[in-house]
Amino acid sequence: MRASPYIGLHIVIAILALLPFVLPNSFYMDLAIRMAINAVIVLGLNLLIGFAGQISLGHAGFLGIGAYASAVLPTHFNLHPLLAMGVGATLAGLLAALVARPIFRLKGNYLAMATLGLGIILNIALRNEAAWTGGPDGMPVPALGLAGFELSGDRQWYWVVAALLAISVWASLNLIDSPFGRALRALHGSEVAARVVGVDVARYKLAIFVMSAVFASLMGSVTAHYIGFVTPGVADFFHSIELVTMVVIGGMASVYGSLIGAVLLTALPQALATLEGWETVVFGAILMLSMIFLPRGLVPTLAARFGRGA
Amino acid sequence: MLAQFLQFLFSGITVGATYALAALGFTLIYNASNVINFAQGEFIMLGGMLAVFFAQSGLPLPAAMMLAILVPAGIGVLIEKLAIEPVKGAETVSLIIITIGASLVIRGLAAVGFGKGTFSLPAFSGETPIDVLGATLMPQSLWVLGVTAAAVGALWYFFNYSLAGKAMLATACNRMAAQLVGIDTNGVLFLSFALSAGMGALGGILIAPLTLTAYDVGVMLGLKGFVAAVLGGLGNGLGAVVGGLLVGLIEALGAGYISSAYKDAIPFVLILLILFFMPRGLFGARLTERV
Amino acid sequence: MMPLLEVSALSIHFGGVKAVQDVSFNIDAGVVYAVIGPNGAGKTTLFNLITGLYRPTHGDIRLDGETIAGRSPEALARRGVARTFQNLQVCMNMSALENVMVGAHLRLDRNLLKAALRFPSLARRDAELRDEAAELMRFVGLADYLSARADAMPYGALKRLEIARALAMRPRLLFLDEPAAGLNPSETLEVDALVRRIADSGVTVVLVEHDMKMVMNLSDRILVLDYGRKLAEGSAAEVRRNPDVIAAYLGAHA
Repeated sequence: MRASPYIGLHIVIAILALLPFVLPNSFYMDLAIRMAINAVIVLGLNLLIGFAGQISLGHAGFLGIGAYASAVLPTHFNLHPLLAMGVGATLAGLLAALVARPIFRLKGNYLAMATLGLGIILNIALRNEAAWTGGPDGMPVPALGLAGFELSGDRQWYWVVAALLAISVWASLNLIDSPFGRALRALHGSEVAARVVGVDVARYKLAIFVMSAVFASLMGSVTAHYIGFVTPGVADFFHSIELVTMVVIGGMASVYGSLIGAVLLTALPQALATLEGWETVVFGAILMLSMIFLPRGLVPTLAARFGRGA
Repeated sequence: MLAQFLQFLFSGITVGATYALAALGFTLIYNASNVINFAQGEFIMLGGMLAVFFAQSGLPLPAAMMLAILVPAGIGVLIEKLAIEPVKGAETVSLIIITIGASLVIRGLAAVGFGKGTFSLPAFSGETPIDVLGATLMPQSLWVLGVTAAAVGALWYFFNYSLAGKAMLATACNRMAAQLVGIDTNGVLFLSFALSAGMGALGGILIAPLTLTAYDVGVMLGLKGFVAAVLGGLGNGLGAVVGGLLVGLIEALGAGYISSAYKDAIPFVLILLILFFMPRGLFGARLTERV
Repeated sequence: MMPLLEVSALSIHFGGVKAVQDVSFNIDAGVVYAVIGPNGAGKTTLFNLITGLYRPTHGDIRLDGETIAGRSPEALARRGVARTFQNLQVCMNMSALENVMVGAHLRLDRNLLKAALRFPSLARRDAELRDEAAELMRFVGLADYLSARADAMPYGALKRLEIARALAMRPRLLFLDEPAAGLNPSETLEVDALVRRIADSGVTVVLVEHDMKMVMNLSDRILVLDYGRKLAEGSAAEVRRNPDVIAAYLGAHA
């Protein structure tokens, strides 16, 4: 019958556990950490785009909220970094909740445009309020720590991020196969059908939007602390598109697809670094080709090919 | 006071004309295929950049401009054939991502081909500013407004009095019915991309002498053009033109009187307000979903 | 005894089109009630009004004495009203079993946190639900499709899947919008038998259907609509004899 999807989780945990012993140097550790961070963000975004079938082209805006909360609040207001992270996540959640109801009455193109507008406004605000945010040049971020112990060095960050990733995958798998998850997928399949069986679609869209916003904000904070510096680019349109690409390439509505998408597209800029200036072109070409030839994404297409047969 | 207001008015309407052409482009393609072409802005960029490129390669200005309209039109058709037609009927997300991908490809190639500098085109009839009640009006602005009006007029004539134009309207109204009466709906799609790209490019050429052009001007221009299209009512041609002028005006007045740092944010605040309170836009039609 | 559903002077206008005009009728609990009429008579519109997809322009709808006119479909689902659709509304992105399981949505613990953390009680309940959904699929005659994906099923099976989904809600009142549409004669007989089984299990069934044999066989009472207005109402025998009904279906002679 059905192979348990949790087998994949065991594989992921095994990989995560073994990776630090296999990677040759800190460049690769850094890459792995970034991949893991992106994977968590993409998991959250995929719940929104892939499972619930909604579009968000401004997701990087929420990343920016978290990242800058972690930079601005400790620096200008002496707030403890963990508290700042919480404040950022709360702000992101509140903003998402505020715009969710009017936005999700829209569909398709209009929804895309609304989320796009939101992301751009956030980006411009971050760029302009230089007194707080350091403007286009960005600002440094204090270290993340608790009671005297500060998180530093590749190894420590790796284990924290790996743990976050494993938990996120587990939680996502759980969610999908639950009443909540089924309601979400039904909403995507036929909103009318979902409504007549009693799914409060407006509330579900709100819930999933807020959830993915909070995830993004938290991971934005994590990224900010890890890199030690933030710039407004973290919240720009291109970054939002990168994230959507990761969802789409790996496979919408596929947990493991999110991981693959994150891994591939985090590695891509590194691979393209030698092709000065052609990054954008290649990126755009990948987007187009994958949507034309692999509209369901890598993992679902491969699964259909090799897995269940049809 | 008046002079300042007039100044904002002039610059607002001038850039508004560019938005109007972009919005018309969005509307044309949306009507023919229900696709929002996120690459529309890149056609505007290509118009200006190619005009500069061809002019600098030695071609006389009018020929350079003509080519700078035809080449983007050709690219538009290419995109339609290679990227849109193969996936007809795909989910909206997929189509949006494809056109975004196309815009990235075009922008990336422009950066590689033309470099990241800014370029300018010589003004069509000189740079002597005209004084109007204390405000300065550049002759180029008059060109922008005049040519845009002519283009809009030509389109109006095309849609109302030519068979091809009416075929396009019919396809926009009901694709299947149009096919059944023998209209080549693929040809309509083809034409809509060509026209849309050409108009965008025209807008880019007209405005290049005033605002300079670079490989990345397309993003914002295109997005703001989309705001204009939604403001006017997605799918409505008159709405696109009115929307474009309004967006340009509101942006200029807002930047002048409220905050110039947030100038670029104004159209997006506007679109959020429109989508929240008046998603049909000014002239849009109400659609009901049949269950 | 109070009727289960009371509709009074119900009307809806779409611009100039009066799709439903001044329609009144009552439905008692436990009956099979059919709504018939020529195409365009307003039958599906009537369903959409009662099940919350449209808001009436005038009139009232009461369920067990409580006004439900203008309420959302979700609210009606909570009150035990289920329906199927003339144009299939099946979630093609899910398996057949999952489609049926969604029907039980309101009867489950929908807590997000418990789901994310996979509380044992939730997991157990889900396993039970899976069995229950399989039972329902067998009840409607879809035993062959237990492990199928919705997008791999034929049209006739999907129509029955919608019925299974509606039944998973354990509804009091079930609206079936043309359940036999597009089915061949033997499939129609199966649906006929299925509706009978559903009615026998105590669910009040309201049926829009064009297949007259099925309607006359199954229904306790029939409402006839024409151009959005009520033309006649009564038992199958009464309606069959009614001259206005005959004229509407066969065309009046001068």
